[in-house]
Amino acid sequence: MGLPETIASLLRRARVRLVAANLTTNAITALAVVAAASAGLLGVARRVVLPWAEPVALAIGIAAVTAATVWNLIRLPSLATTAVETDRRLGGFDQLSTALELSSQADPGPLGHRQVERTSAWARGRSLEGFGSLFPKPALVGLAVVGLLSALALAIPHSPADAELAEQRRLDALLEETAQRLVEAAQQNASPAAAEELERAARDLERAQSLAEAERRLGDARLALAELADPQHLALKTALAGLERRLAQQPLAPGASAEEQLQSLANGLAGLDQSAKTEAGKALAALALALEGADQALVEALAKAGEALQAGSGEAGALQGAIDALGQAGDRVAEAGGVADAQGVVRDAQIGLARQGEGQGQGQGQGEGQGQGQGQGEGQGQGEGQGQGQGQVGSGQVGGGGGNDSPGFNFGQGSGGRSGQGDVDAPELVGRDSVFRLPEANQGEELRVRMEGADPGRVLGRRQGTGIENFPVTSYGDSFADYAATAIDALDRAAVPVDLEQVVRDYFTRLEP
Amino acid sequence: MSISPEQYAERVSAIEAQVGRVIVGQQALVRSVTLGLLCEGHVLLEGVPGLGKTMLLSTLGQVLTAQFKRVQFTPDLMPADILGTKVLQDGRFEFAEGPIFANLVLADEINRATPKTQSALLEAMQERRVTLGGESHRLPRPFFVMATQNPIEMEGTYPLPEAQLDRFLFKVLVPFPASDDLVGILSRTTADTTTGVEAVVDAATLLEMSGLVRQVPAATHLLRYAATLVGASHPDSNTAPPRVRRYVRYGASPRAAQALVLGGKARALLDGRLNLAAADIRELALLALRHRLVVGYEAVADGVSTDDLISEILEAHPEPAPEA
Repeated sequence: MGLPETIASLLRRARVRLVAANLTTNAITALAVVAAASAGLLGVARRVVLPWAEPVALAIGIAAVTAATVWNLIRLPSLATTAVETDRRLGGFDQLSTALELSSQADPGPLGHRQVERTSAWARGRSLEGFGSLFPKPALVGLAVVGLLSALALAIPHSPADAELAEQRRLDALLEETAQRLVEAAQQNASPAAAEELERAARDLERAQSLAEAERRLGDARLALAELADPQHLALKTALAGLERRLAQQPLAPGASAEEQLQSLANGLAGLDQSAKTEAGKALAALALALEGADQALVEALAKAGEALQAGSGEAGALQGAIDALGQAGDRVAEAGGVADAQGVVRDAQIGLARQGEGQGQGQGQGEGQGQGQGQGEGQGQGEGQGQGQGQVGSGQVGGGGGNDSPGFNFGQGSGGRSGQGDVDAPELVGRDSVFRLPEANQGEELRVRMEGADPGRVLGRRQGTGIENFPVTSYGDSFADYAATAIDALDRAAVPVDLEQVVRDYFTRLEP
Repeated sequence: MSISPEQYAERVSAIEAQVGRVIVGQQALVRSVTLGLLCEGHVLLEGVPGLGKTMLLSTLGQVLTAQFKRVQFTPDLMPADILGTKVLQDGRFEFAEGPIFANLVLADEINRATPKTQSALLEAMQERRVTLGGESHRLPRPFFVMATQNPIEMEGTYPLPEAQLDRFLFKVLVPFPASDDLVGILSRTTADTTTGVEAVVDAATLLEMSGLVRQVPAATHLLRYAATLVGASHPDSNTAPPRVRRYVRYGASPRAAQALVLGGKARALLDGRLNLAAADIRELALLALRHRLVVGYEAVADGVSTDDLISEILEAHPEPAPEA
């Protein structure tokens, strides 16, 4: 016998209701469990950097609800299950399930027929009132809501871990950007050795796991570059500049540069009388004397050319030797300049990283510096500079000093100390090499040497006299290197607190030419 | 089908009404015994003296137009006293039927007889026949054994063997009557009046009613539920509750499941339903299982009764599973 339509209709409606109720129950149960677990995970992620926590929590939540939905769709309740559930929920005393089973039998017997008929009458027009709610128990719904709200409350507000993560990402980007700058500098650098060192520093930087490690690696690179650096570079560069300037003021022969003047002199030897040659030879000897200590080969070549001109023999070859020595000195300066550029790039990168690591506007600081300058040579000079920094700077500006000069050398040098605490977001350390810049002045004029970092316009050094300008024989770079080496050596030997050690290193970093 | 469910219900109501004229209150007790009758099953009544066990069964014998015999079990009662014996009559041995040859046999204080005599009932109760001297004698239909026993007297009693107990469809505990019922009992039994009862159902009708009970449909998942409950009474079953595993030595036999289903069908008809329900099975679990569980000494020492264990089984299996 077939299943009466009234029973079938009731079972169909009950089945839909059952599927919906199971779906909501399972989905909300899954949501409650996952939300609670996610809240725990996100709570941990507020303390510990877990960049995957929020995506994973979201993914698990979606997966759980999806799995619950799919599970319900796969395991649809059978008609027999629906009948039993309907009997149970509507108080049917198993008559639907029995009728369902009897209707599948060919001859259920007289009592079976009556049972099916009676059940059909019972099912006719029966609503599903009392079948049960579509939603699970309020406690479960409440648990899901609480878990969900907890997870959202932990996920949405900015947490210390989020800040730490953002900072980490920012530093990663910074390291990558710095490494890129080093690579670009390496491509443009004139010194192959310095370029190679820059590329190695870039690779090391990309492998650095922390800012401190990155700074340390850059420090290693700076030491390596320092070994490549020519200690006479600045002296030679300054000497060559002085030579160019001197020859520009008192030319030996036509020509824009020293090399052109020498070349013109060599080309015009045939047209010069001995007195002119002697005069030119004296000038070359004076130049050689002025360059003493800068580049021995150049000094010797100039002296030899001067002597040859005065003696009136072999002057052509000697002049060519001086031209060659001048060219080699220029090449040496260019090579050393590449190394110096590389040092500057690495130094700037290190300072940039240090600023990123320390300069976040924490606190205030004060600093002051004083500098003294000494003139060397026949005259003596003194200078002093003062710098003050306040606020975000947290460090004193570098003091500088100038020096008076007598007819001797007019080289003055200042040094400054600074102290203070606070961020390293210091002002631009501009013009650190200004102490080496020869002032532009005519003879007899008073020269004022303005130091960077001091009060604008303050006269820090004074020179007066009629002597000619001379060239420094002891460069600031050499003096700085001596001081820095001594200080760094002391840091390596003595037990100095790390933060104070960094202060010392920063100090020399900023003073470094 | 010569009797309809409606007639069935009327007859049962008539039986219970007649019994109620003598037995005051105790509706559940009467209903349990009646269910046993409707299933053509044997019923064991256990209760302290004076609660009306014998009165109930003898009244039931009067309500039915059927052969009713009462046997008072005593220690010197012999099997032949129950089953019958062969006597020399006219030079031939003729079989003289014992009191067991009746439709309704009241075995009063059955635990006072020796195990030998008690065992004489085994074949009769299960196969509804008596074998004596190589001859089998079929007992009349319907055939019921209604037995009583006293749980508190141990002197001169012999506990029924498990095989004997298993043959009883139900074991009914006779409770002490409620206070109002006790007043009614006093009123009826201390006055100079005698309450008579009428026979309302004959043996043939009773057989038809038993037949109707067996026709009641039972869904497969309900039969499985009955089997599950019985299975859970076994200590080595995975579905057994922890305390059953601890205290029960032997679980219920398949006869228990038969009792659950058959009694449930009879109950369903009495409830006006034409199908077995899980509620019927649960309702009859205590009646059908309590005398079939064999508990160990530990249960006795801890004061754990079989009824406690059956309740735990029902708690562990509250609803039938829709599908296997």
